[in-house]
Amino acid sequence: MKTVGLLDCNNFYVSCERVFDPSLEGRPVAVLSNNDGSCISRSNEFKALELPKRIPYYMLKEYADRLGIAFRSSNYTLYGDMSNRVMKILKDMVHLIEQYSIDESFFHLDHPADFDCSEFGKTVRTRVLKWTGIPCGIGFAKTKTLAKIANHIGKHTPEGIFVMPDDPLPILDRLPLTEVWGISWRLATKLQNLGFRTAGDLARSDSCFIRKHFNVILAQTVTELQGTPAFAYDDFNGPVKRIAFSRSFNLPTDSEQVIHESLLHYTALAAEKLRSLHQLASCIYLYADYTAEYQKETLPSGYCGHLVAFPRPLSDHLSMIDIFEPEIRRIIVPHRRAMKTGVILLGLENECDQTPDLFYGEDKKPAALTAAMDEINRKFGRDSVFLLGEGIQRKWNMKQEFLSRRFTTDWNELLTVK
Amino acid sequence: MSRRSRKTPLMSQSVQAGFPSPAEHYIEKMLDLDEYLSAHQEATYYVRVAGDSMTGAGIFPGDVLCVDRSIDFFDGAIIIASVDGEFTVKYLRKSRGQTFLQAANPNYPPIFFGTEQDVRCWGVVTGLVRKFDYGVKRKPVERTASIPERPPVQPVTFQIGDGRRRQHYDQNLSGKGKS
Repeated sequence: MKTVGLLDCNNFYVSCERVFDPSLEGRPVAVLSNNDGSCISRSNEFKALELPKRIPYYMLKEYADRLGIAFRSSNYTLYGDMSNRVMKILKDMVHLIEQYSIDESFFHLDHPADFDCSEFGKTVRTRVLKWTGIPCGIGFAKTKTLAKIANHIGKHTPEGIFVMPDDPLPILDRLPLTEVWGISWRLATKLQNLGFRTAGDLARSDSCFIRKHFNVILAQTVTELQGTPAFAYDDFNGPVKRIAFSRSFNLPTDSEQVIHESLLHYTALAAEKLRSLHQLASCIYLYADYTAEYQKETLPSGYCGHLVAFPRPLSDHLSMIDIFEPEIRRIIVPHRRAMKTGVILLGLENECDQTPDLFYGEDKKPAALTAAMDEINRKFGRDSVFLLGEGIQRKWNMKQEFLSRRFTTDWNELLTVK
Repeated sequence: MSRRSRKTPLMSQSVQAGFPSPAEHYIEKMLDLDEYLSAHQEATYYVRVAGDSMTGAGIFPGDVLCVDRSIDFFDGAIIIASVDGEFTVKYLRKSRGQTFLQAANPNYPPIFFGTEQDVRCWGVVTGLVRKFDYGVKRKPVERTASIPERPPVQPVTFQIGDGRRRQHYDQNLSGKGKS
């Protein structure tokens, strides 16, 4: 018998912070988005305050003390490491996993008919909780769409586990359409106009009919709700196809220098990642996001991007910057304030698959220099050496007022015990 | 029928035709402290000691402890626990029906579970790493000052062959031998 499971960590970012700071236990905690903008992960105590979802931080600031709310800036280095730990534990216990996001993973079980999925789920959950300190919920069903629903139900039980019964219709009849994986609010309205009120109505419908009137994905969703797998095994951990790096500024800016410095800095960071994966990029996409203006006249927000191709695939940011630097002015819109810039390295290929170019004599110097820079930065901490063009003070860098330490990835930031 | 080119491909790299390393089949993977100190890497965390409560157990400020969360807590284990939101390293003790945290330093009183203090166990300490910080004032030690000279080893004298062969050998080396 084949069963699909879905493991989903509860309030993942908040849970990660709590592992290393027990004083956050039992009180409202929110992890803020990049640049300390809005709340992206909230503890159950925070949710109980019934504030609007994704409420911006500046609106909460005044009441934070009175409500006893603790804030944390997002610390993706820590969350990434904790996520790897959870996924590794799961991987060692099941046949096949399909990591779906930083805190969710599908897994596939091939088991005898008398296998107790619920009991197995408890074992997985207990181990993840004990080894990492992160609580999670697990749902079991015949298909991914049903597993997602089972997981959702499981989260509201004390054990955190739910196994979808063979006949899921009684449960689906009580489930609103928007709770089904892949059905947006807009799509749900359309379906409601056609007389579908619950997920059960959708499961009873004919997938051919849906396919005719909507699309293949929704038809597949119907098949999945009926208990037949339609979404195939999809390896989300395939080779990296692009490397993107973008951040918001602390304040919107019209300074060309800031845009310039930030692009160079992000390229350096993206290229470091590229080199660690032993890959080369053949082009780079630069872009800047501009804010909407309401002061003198109303101007819509928007972005401006430009693609720069390299004469040959590169991995060192020194050569990259040399090539794209004159093109930066193309994405600068005069008299508009940018709130975010970013770079995307595209057309990645493996270092070893590279065909040497006959006409460009390969200059080994920049590659050797960047390798040395990587080594120094690895040994003495990030930003020990960098290009002057990346800026020294970087006042434009995002706000991270409540950043916790990188407890698991940096020897200088370990948890301290008395 | 497809016509295949029979040209030999031009190799861009020269072939390394040296004598293979005699150690080739004996090389194992490099030693990994992580693996030595704990059973499960994904349950292993490192923490730094900041207090002197465990000096009696040989744990000093600045030491790095390896913590394995996969191990079940047992009486006598050195553990990391949080007491009212602060992390501490102590012995976990169970005696006369009471569980408590005990320091290895007489200046610290035991901390009991189930009192007003909020005590939670975090993980079992499985190892210790201490890096010797020699600082900058390193004085080089003169070899003659600390290490006594050994008497020189007397070379053993013996003869190879009868001298005639030796001559042949030299000739061959200089390329003047018979071709």
